[in-house]
Amino acid sequence: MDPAPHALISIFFSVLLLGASLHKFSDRVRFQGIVSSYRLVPAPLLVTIALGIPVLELGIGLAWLVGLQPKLVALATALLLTTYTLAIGINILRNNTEIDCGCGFSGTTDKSTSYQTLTLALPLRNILLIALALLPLLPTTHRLLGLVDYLSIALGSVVMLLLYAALNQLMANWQIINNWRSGRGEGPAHG
Amino acid sequence: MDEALIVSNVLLWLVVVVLALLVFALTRQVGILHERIAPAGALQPTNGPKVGELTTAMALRGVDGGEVTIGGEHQGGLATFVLFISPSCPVCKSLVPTARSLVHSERNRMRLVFASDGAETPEELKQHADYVSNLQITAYPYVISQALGLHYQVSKLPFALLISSDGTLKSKGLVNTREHMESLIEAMDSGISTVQEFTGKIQPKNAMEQTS
Repeated sequence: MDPAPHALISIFFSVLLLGASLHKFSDRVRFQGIVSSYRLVPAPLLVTIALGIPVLELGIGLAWLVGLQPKLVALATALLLTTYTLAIGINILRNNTEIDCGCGFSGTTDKSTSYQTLTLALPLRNILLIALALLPLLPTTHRLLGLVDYLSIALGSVVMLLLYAALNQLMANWQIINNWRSGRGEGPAHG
Repeated sequence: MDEALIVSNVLLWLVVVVLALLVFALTRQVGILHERIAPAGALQPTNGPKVGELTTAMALRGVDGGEVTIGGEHQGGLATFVLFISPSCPVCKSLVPTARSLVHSERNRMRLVFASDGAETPEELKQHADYVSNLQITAYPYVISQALGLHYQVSKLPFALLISSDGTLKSKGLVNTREHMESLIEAMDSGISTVQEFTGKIQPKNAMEQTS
């Protein structure tokens, strides 16, 4: 793999993971509530796990940023995302979907994205992310990066993050529209 | 050649960034719109006969000289949609075709009656007759009665009443758009008198889901 796309992926994941971890640190009580609503972690471990996840994200995010152990970091990211995906998948199978997914990268606190319940779109999105995280495992080639490469990396990562945020927003919108439709459909029955 | 490629590369990147920004902004807007736009229903005044009350039959004279009964039980089993309009009200003119199309789609259970007032002199009566032919609503009853407007306390136009076939006042309100008129029919079907009351009913439920 060429070093330029590798750098692009590194920046993308470091921003993603650092953002996610800061978001979780900033509202630890709420995140703990989200973890418990997944009903996968035994109560005594709840505090440890709710603290451990953002710490892990912070570590992996920093490692992506400074380029420490790229292969290992790629594997760790894929593993972390797989864990999330499994947790979401298990709860979808259990039909325990009316919970906040806690995805919160978008970093915004307004209502339109902060609360997303579990849908199949989430595991699909995560599979895409896992595939992306595993790309750096491909054999790397070496070449000297020029000015144009740095431009591509900088602007490319901005575009990737914007598109990722747009994707999340679309998923949230899709959910709101679905709620609205079903609410309307069963409307008279409530009255 | 190399220089041209670099320039085009830079330009393309800039375009892609702008496009990505636009896509993101648009998706955000859609999300925010969903929160801002709650459905708006017809403005319902608190004075006059209350929704749910039984109306009394009023025999009135139409512009064509025929007799039109508004209120009370309807022999044909149809609900009555009364739209108050006037030649001096500009909004009414644009609303008439909308009312026709709306009631037409509900024609097996609803009839449309237009109501107006102020025809004391023959000139004024002529004005109303011209108005009716201009709007191409000669096929519908058009009553001119001050008593009707006073009874239902119509203070602003265009105003609509919906009276069910058994004579109950199902809904009423100031209407400016098709959505407003539909809200009256929706109110009759659902038994919830205003959209505002309906959204008030579902919002606490959603709020509970959010916190659980």
